[in-house]
Amino acid sequence: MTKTVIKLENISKKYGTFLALDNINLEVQNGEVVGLIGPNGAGKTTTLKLIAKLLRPNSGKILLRNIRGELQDINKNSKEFVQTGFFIDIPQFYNATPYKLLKLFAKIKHYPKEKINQRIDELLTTFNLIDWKDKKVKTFSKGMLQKLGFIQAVIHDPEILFLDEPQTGLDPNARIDIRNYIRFLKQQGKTIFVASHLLYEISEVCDKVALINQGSIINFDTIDNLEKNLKSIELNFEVLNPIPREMLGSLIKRLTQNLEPYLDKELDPSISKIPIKYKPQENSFTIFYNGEKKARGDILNILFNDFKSDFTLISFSKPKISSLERIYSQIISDDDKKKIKINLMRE
Amino acid sequence: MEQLRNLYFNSKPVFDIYLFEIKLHVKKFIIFSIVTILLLIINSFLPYILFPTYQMPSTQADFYQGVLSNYLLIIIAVCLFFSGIICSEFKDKTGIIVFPKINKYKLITGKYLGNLTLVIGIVSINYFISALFAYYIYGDPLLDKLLLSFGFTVFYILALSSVVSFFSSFTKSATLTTTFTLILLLFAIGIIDTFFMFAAPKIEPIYSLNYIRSIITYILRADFFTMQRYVDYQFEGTFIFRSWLTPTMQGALFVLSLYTIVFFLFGSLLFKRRQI
Repeated sequence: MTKTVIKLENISKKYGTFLALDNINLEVQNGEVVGLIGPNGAGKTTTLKLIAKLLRPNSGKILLRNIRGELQDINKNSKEFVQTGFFIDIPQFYNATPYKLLKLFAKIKHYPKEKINQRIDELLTTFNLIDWKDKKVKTFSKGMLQKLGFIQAVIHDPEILFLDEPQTGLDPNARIDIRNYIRFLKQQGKTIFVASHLLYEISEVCDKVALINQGSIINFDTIDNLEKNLKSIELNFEVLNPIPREMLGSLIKRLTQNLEPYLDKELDPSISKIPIKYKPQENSFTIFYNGEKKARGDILNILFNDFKSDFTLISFSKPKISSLERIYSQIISDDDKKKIKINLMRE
Repeated sequence: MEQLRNLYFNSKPVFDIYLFEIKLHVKKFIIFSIVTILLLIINSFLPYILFPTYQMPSTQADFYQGVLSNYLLIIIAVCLFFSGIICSEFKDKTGIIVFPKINKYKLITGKYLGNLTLVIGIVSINYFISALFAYYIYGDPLLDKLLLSFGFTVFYILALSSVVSFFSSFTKSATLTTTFTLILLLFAIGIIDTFFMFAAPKIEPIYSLNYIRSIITYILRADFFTMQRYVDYQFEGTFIFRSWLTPTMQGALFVLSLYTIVFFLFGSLLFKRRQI
C-alpha cells in the first residue's frame, strides 16, 4: 500500500497561449495537511480544478489513491477511488434549502442513508447555520454560501479534502470555525490540500507548504525546512512595562553584546538594518538570529538571567506567520528574479 | 451480482438527482400546469359561454385539433425547463460541487430526465383535461388515436429538448439558449419552409420540426391514413405553391428520432469538451 494519496506527474495546462501550469510535480502523503501558496494567477486554482477534473491538463497525469491503496489515474473508473471532497470557488447552489442540498450531496456521495440527517445537523450546528437549515440559499450572504460550500465538501466524511481559499472573505469567527474543523480532520488522519492567500491560516494548520509561482512549484517542504533557507529568522519577546526612551539605547547595546554569538551576521538590510529592534507600541523586541534551534534556548536564558533588572519577560516566541511571510516573499522574489534573468538571456 | 451492484452504483446518483430536480422545479411545474388548464378553458368553453352563437366543433377530432395545437406552449415549456440544463452548471458553478465526485454525465442525465418528466407531465395534464372536456361535451367514447397523438407529442418534446440541450451545451446562459431556440423555430425554419414551398414545392419538408409536429393533431383525423397530405394552390389554372399538411407516421417517427439522436450526440460531444 502506497503512502502517497495524490500525485501530480508533469502536469502542464495552457489557456490559449498562456502557460498556467508548467510541468508540475507534486506528491502528497496520507494524513498530511499541505498548503499551496502563491501570488494571484500563480496556478493554485487551476491545480485544484485539474485534480477535480473540471479542467483537462495539456500534458501529464494525476494519480489518486484507490480503495486498494494503489495510485490510479483519475480518468479511470471513479468508484474505485477513496472519497474526496472539494471546495473550489464559492458555489452558486441550486435554489433549495441547505438541508435538501446537503441531503442530495450526501446521497450521491454514498454516505450511509441512516446517518445523513444527523450528519447534516452536526455540521450546520458547527458552522452556525442550523437556524438556516430550512431557508432557501437565495437569501444567504456570500459568507454563508462559503460555509455551506465547505460543509458540502466534508458532508460525506472524505479521506482527502481539497480546499481553494476556504477562509477568504469570511468573518473572524467563521475563519476560526473552519480552522478548527481542519485541525479536527487532521487529528482524524485525513489528508487535506489547501490553496490560500491567507498565510496565517496556512501556517496554523499545514504540515507542509508548496510554493507556486508563474505556474511552477518552486519549493515544497515543511515550514521548518523552508525556514532554513531564510536569510534571517526572527524571535519576538514582550516585556511587561514600556522601556523608557533614555534607557533604550544602552539596553539595545547591551542586548547586542550579550546575544552577539547568536545574532544574524549577514542580516539583509532590506529586512532590518539592526539585529535587535524595539516596538514601543507593543512593548516588544524583535531579534534577528541565526535560526539554530539551540540558540533559541540560549537567548531565552540570557534574557531571563542577564536582564532581570531591566525588564520582566512576559512572552518569548518565534512568529510562524512572520516566517512564512518571509519565506513566501523571499522565495517568490528570488524566483521572479531568476525567471527575468533567464528571459533576458534568451532574448 | 457484481454487475447488479455496478448498475446500482451508477444509477443511484442519477435517480437522486432526478428526484431532486423534480422537487426543485415543482413550483414551475404547478404554475405551468395552471396556465395550461386556463388556456384550455379559454380555447374550448369560454367562447361558447361568451358568445351564444359560437358553435362547438362538430366532432371530437375537430375539438382536439383546436385545443391541442397550441405548440407555442410546448416550445415555451421545453425552453423553460431545458435551456439552462448544461450552461447554468458552468455559469453558476452549481455542478462544480458534484462534478468531482459524480460523473458529469450522470448529473446531466438525472437533470434531463427530471425536466423531461415535468414537461411530459404538463402535456399529460393538457391531454387529460382535454379528454375530460371532450367526454363532457360529446359523450362519445374517447378516441383511441388520442394516445397516438400523445405519443407523437412526447416524441416531439424529446426532439425539441435534444435541440435545446444542444444549444445549452455551448451557450453561456439560459436566455441565450432560449433565444437561439426561438429564432430557430419561429424564424429560421419558417423562412426555409417558405423558400421550399415556392422553390421546390414537391420536396416534403421533413427536415422541419414545425412541419413534423403537425402530425400531433392531424393524426386525430378519421381519414389520416387515406387523406392527401398536401394542398396545391393554383391561380387561374397555374400552379403557385404546395402546402404540405402532415408527414406520415413512419416519416415523423424517423425524423423525430433522428433529431433526438443527432442533437444529443453533438450536445454530449460539446459538453465533454467544455471546461469550467
